[in-house]
Amino acid sequence: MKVEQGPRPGEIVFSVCLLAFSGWALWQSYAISGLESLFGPGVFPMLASAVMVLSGLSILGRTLKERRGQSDNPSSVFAYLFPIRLIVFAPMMVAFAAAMPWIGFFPSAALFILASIAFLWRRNLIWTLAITALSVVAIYVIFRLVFQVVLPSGVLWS
Amino acid sequence: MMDALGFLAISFSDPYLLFLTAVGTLAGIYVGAVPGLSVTMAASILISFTFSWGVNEALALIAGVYVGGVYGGSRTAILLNIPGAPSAIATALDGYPLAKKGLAGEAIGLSTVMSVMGGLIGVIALAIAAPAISDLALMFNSRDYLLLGLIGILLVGTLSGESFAKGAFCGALGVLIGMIGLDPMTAQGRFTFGSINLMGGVPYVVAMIGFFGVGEALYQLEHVGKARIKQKVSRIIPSWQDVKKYLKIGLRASGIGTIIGALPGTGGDIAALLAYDDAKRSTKNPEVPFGEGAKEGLIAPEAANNAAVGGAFVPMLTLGIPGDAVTAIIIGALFIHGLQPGPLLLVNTPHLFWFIVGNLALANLFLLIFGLTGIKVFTKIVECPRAILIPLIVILSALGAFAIQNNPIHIYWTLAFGVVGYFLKKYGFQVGPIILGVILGPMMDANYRRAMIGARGDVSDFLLDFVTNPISLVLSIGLVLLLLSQTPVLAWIQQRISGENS
Repeated sequence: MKVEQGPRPGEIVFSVCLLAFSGWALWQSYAISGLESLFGPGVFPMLASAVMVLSGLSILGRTLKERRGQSDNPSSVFAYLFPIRLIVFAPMMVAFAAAMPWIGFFPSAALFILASIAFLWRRNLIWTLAITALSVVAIYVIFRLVFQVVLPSGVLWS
Repeated sequence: MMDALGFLAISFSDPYLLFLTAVGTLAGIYVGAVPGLSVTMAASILISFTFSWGVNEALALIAGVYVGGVYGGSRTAILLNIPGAPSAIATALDGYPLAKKGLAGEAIGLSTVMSVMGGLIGVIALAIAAPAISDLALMFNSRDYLLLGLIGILLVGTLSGESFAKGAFCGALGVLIGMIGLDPMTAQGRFTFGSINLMGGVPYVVAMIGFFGVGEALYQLEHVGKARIKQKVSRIIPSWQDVKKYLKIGLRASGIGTIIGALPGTGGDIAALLAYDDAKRSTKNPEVPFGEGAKEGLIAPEAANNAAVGGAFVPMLTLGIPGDAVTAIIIGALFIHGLQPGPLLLVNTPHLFWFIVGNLALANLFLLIFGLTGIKVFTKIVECPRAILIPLIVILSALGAFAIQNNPIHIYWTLAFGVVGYFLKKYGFQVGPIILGVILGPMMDANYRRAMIGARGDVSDFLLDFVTNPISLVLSIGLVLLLLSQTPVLAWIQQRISGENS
């Protein structure tokens, strides 16, 4: 597990977002059962979100101290968080998940593997097709035949 | 006694059982190694298709996968810095720096030998000390489980992140994710927002696959164009001097692993982290600093997580309480085969107990064989270009998430967790504590409430119990010291003491 080192554009905004989320989580936890009893279903979530609020404050404080005087311009934050490969790959991933119930697991997986390898690897089409076919067959044999995982077959074909 | 030996030898003498254990162990290594595939998932799928088999055959295969899987996570942790399983999180801390220095083969060889040693010690402990260890575990009450959970999460937070606050934040976030769904005590919805899909909760495997599989895949997209770091795997069989040199730390870690494994709910993941921490504290002058490729930091978690396997069977077989997620699934398998795990299992079906002991030992022997061979093939898989690996990780993650409950919604959750994990990683957060929080959160919640009910809702009574019960007191002191170690207070006290002495 690597962590990003060096300057991280947008860190202050991210810390504020985390703190806001923690505050919202604390409020939601309070809404579960309030403070009527100390062994209600909402108490432990409240404790956990309180820890999030406290550590969120500490993270924000530290970030502000470390990055005093530095400002991020929106374009550097965007470039840091959303490199071009992510902008193309993430929607393909979502499209794969969205298409699966309709056209079935294997067709959508094959299309996704083909498209993403073609985009990320940029070798000739024959290689890309061969690797896609090999991967799909391997997944089919291991998971469908050996482990007998029942996968969505697609409502369009039924 | 002779009977016990006879039952013990069943798996060694029956060729079919030998074969199944070998296949299970080999498959387990790969299942454990591939991020996004978990031993828990493999074991649960295996149960569904070994349903019609005999109990010995089913157990041989599942035990093999379990032993191989706990070990397998270490290989990707060493070679890729991606722990294949949570029990290998600590392994990556020093294993990957070793691989970067060109010592990947040595690291794998040493971790294999120490894993097998730990595994065998765990099995011996299961055979000899099962009654004693389960007696100790019986003395633990809900407060102690709560404390153990807290210590576990905070340890991951302090060990793997860049700051304690970030670790604590992630641990708490994980606990919160673990709370989603209907409350098991009152059936009241928590964070369900009226959605039926959320009422069943978030299976932790979904969160784990999302954060570790998809999140890592997205994070690695940046590095697609870069040349892969080719890990040179040369010498695999470790030198006898190295084994002798680190034997003591391996034995110590195996002891920790066995005991932690025997505590219900705490498995190889916590055992590995505690052993890593212990090794860090007890090694006064490591040749290489911890975190930069200290062999002690590689050996301790590896010996401990495999020792925890034997330990995890202790409460499962003697009390009917699973030691970790995989033994929880094995309990299910025993029920399917008409057996009742619990205090009477040893009395009514001693053959089953001794068969499991023998089979776990056999799986460890196979681990030694498969662990020290086939690494060339393994690294070929690992050397596959990221451009191919990343889409495949996403597909396997989607498949794994779906296979848990055949629910397509889990695929979307996995992708969503992956996106959250990506942003967290970008800002220096570690996802390890989140996963531990998701796994331990529900256990901690239940135990907190039991302890509070025991104190009749009186906060002062509740807190007093933490210092009046000897076991709770020891654990509370451990927790306080852990928290203090993250503040300047402890260093200040140490300074004062050393100042007074000098």
